[in-house]
Amino acid sequence: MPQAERYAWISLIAWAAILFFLLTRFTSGVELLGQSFGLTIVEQSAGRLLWTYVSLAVIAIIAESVIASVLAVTADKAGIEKDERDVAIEARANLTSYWFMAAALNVIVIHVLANAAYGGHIMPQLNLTSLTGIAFALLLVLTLAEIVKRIATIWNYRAA
Amino acid sequence: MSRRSGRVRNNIRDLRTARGLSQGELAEQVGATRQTINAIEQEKYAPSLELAFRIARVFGVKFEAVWEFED
Repeated sequence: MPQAERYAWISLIAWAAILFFLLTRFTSGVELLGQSFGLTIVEQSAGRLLWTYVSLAVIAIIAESVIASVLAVTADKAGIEKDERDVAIEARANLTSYWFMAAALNVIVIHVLANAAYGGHIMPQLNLTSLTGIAFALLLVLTLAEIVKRIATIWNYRAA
Repeated sequence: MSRRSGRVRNNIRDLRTARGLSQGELAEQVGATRQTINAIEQEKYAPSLELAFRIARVFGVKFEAVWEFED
């Protein structure tokens, strides 16, 4: 398995854990592993939101650094580590992630505007129009975009 | 404007085995990973022109002896 594919698998697990952390910090509903998450957004103060954001950023940086360091130490020293196919797959995965993010941000914009225009009668229960809601939506999109990138990387290694 | 599709075919496996080279050895000589050589042999990945020329050069044959474009 190429080093980049191994990295994608391990960091996919890390980002899935970060997604779980994000959901437990912002939402409630279903109980799992002593944590609650679901479709109801738990309103929070701006200070607490900032703290959650900083925690997420620190966890993501630490996770990525640890994974990169461990893989660098265990890497096969003989042979080429990365070639044109790896670069092409990385570029394709980045593009997939970009289009996912663009689509998701458009959905958020439409949701917020439609919610303001129609009072939420025809909108889903997940309300993103509050400060907590919009912070959650944007952080969710960023996290999901990272997950999409890793899935696209793994998919492209399997397909090409 | 319609996009024309085609397929890049190769006979790297035959040339490589005839010379007693492993995928790893060929990869090292052309500056690619073993996985990339494997993907090229299985025709899952079409390499850049530069890599295609490098591969032909390692075998000491003309470009068209390795590569073929099927419309």
